[in-house]
Amino acid sequence: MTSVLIVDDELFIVELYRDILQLRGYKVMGTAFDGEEALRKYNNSDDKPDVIIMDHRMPVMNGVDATKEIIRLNPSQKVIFVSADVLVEKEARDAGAADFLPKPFRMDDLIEKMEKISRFH
Amino acid sequence: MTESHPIHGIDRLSTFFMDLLSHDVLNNNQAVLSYLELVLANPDLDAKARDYAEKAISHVRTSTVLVEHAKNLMAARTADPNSFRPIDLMRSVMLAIKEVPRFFPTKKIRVRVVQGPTDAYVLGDALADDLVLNAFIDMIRTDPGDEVAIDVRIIKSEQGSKMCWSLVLSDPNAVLRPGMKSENLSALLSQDNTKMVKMTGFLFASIASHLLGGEFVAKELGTGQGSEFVLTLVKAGKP
Repeated sequence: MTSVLIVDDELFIVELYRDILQLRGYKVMGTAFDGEEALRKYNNSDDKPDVIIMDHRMPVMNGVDATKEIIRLNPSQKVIFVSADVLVEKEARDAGAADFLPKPFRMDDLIEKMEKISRFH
Repeated sequence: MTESHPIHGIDRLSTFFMDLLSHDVLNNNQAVLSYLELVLANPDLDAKARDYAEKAISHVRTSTVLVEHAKNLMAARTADPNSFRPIDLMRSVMLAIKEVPRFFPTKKIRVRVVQGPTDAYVLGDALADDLVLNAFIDMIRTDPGDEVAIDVRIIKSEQGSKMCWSLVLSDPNAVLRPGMKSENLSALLSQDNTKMVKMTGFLFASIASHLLGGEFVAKELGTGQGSEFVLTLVKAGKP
């Protein structure tokens, strides 16, 4: 079962991703509301997620900075960047994100990308 | 005497405000889209309800495009034109062809690329992709039929001393709304704007292309021949 860490500052978005991903058979192993919390949870967890779904515009630490840190700790970690700001795509990929989805997107598109990434994991 | 902020500071703050506004609206659109997906995932959903949900999804997409237009226009107003990245116009067309059916779930859309050079690079950044998609959406909106056929040509052109590429979209059944027939932005401003409706896409294309140094023109082709949109953008070197 593919495991996921969801990082987004909007509670309703986190809950939605969590509910839909669980319905579709994914294991949501954690949630975080900013990049720093994501980094802390990632560091403190022995069991790393297969995929991290990462927002960009968040308080304390944004998604690009959090992705850079996580990839520095674990270069093989798969991060799917999701953002309403399409202009941040290049920055996200340079930071190490494996893929990018502009908001709003259909969950089928996210799941397709997660499946593709997991196959090469 | 009151102290005033430098105007460029206000412009930058306004751009920042639009970034935040669009971020919040798009997050809400994400929620609406995802809830509709949850509804559609119900195998017992009847056909009528499924149809309603699909139509609601297409409206979420339209609302997203409208917000993106406002955000990108605001950003382009304060950007340095020299900083715009070259964009492959044919790539933008192919993206738009893939994307546009999602906005019109009840229409059958056929697009034929009559002339599509692979070396048509224009100055445009992400705004060029928006402009091309917007041109397709507007063209389809001006066609009242359920089946839409659009021909696409990308041709070399000139604007004053500037070398350009023009994207020409033509549809034999497209009917222009009165405000679209203005010859230029000044003529558009001189019209009674209380009578202009469903013009956001056209206005966006006119203003955005102007900010990029180009233009957007809508033409009637004559009785029974439909209309065409011509989006002209300044030629750029291959990156």
